[in-house]
Amino acid sequence: MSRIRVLRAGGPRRLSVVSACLAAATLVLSACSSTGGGADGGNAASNGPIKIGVLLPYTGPFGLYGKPMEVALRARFDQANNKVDGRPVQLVFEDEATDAGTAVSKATKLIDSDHVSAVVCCATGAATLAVGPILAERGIPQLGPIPNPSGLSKYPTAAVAAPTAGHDATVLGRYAATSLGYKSAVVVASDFAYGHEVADGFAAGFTKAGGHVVKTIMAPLGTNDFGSYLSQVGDADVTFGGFAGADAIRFVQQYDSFGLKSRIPLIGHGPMVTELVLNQIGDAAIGVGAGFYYSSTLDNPANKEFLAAMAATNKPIVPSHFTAGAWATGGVLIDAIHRAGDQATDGKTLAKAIRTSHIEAPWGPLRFDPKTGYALAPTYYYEVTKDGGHLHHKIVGTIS
Amino acid sequence: MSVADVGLQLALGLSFGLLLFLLASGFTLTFGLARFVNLAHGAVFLVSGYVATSLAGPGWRFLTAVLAAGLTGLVLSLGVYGLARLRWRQVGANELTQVLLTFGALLLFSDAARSYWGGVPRSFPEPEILSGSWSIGGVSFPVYRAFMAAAALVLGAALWWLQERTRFGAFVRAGVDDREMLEASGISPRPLFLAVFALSGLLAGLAAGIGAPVIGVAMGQEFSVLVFAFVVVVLGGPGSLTGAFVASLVVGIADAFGKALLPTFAEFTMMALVVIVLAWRPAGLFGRVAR
Repeated sequence: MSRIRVLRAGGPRRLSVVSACLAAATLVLSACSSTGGGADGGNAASNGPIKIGVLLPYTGPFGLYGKPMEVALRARFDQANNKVDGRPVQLVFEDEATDAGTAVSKATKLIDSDHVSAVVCCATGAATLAVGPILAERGIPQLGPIPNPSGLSKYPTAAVAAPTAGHDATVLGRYAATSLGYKSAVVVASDFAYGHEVADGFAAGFTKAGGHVVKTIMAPLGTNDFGSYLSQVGDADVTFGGFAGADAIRFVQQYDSFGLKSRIPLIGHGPMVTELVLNQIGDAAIGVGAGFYYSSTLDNPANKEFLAAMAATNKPIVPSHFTAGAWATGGVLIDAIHRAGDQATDGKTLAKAIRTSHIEAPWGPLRFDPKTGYALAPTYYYEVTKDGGHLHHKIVGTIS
Repeated sequence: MSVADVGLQLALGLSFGLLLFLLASGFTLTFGLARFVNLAHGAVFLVSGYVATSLAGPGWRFLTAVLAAGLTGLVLSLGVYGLARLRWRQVGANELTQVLLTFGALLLFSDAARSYWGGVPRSFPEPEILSGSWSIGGVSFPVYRAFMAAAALVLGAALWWLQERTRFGAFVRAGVDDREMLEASGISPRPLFLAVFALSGLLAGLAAGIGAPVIGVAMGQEFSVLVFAFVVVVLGGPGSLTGAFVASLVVGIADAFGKALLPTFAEFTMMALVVIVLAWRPAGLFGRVAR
């Protein structure tokens, strides 16, 4: 009798041991299933599927871009029936969480467990640069979908399907001094890598074309109240704004509410009045100009095709350079895999095919600078107007 | 800087400081009275702000948006209190447990906001009658900011009246001073805590709604706004409304002048202020040393 009682007394502890084992088993099983297909192999064979890893931000400050970019990339491959020359292409999506560290560990997982032949990375600049050396060392091609900081040029296997932010800003600076006829400018931008890059780019283009930057004001990222900065703007022919996201909304709104917009025109780099924030800024954005490689109102067949495909997905996604970039990235990959043929799973061959790619992107012709790997694309100048109660971009012209 | 410039920075600092006061006053009340560190306060601000952006529109809809934001704040804050109430014995006295619980609530609220509103930063335009700016002595000051400051002053005055001239306020002040004595004189702290939590949520929600046309609503604000609230409470002393008022204005003005004179060090000036004040008066400007 006492033995039974002893067994019962050990019950709770045994139960917790059993549940611990169950939990561990569940963890191991789920880990195995998420790496999925790693044991299958067959990628090296020229009739096996090609796997492309895609690192997008689904969480973190850039978390709003992940899903739309995934939809756009999938839509591009769906258009090709997920095959290139009869060979199936599989996309493996992972979350880089707007964090360089997470991006690196996910990239390693994509290479080692999923055996991908290329990685699309990333939307977060810091993540792109952190993953760069890892992919380069393993000989896996890297393709950035949207403008990224310069720094990938030293890896011959890396490419970015968009111009650098500094490039468009420099072209805008030149345009402002020449065609727009501005002689003096005030530069206001966010005090972090992106803000500095566009501020420096604009200043370089503007001064080289004969303009004079009167003042440069850098506001910390995430500034709530720009009032004190705006009061320092003083007098100039034009103000250049280098802001994105929530800061862009606040800056443009406050620029208008302080009466500055009626005194000094405001121009900026594309993200300052991107479609994603335009409606949130409201009427304060009317009349603001921007220089960028993409606007959803561009009138060309490739853009129309892209917009139609996005509308057909029946998902409420506002078209912007994020989704257009993802779409174009899909186009580049399809073209590169086609031209690499049997060697598509060989890193060096695929990387070379990517860099020599020449396709029609929603913004016009897309090809890569053979020296840097960054894309050469036209720069457009557009202004925000209101038509029928809606704010949208009015393309003025190509300025590059 | 010219006289007009100095005046402008002062006005900007005051209007921002008054908005901060609305937000921080609720935080200091729960901290001072209930000894409760409510880290979810920032997320309450965030969700209320998002609600306001969803309901905003022309004309009267501005008012309904702000009131809805206040209501959202009230409900969410009561939710946090209810959560804490479930295990009050462990939570009520242990600050670490409060931090963990309310931080969890913050993550829950902010992720719910992200999944519903998609993580996109939002805003809405100020109502027509309050748009535009005044031109005084060569500088422009937006009309809406004056309204924001006035609204915060009115709410602040109502709060002051509540605290100084009503029985409820007397209980709150007594509870901040000496809670054991309050309980000993037969007044149950529970309905007081409930009311204070509700009030703090209401104020945070109203602040989010009124502030949205200026500072907008974006993911990440649940943390940045919390930092502001902490700075104000620490500077002004926990539980002291006067302290929160003075500290908010000081922070707002220091922030404005910091941005104007040392743009790259703007955030540093605010924190440097905290360090200096605390070195001089460790309990805050109006705080009392904890018993």
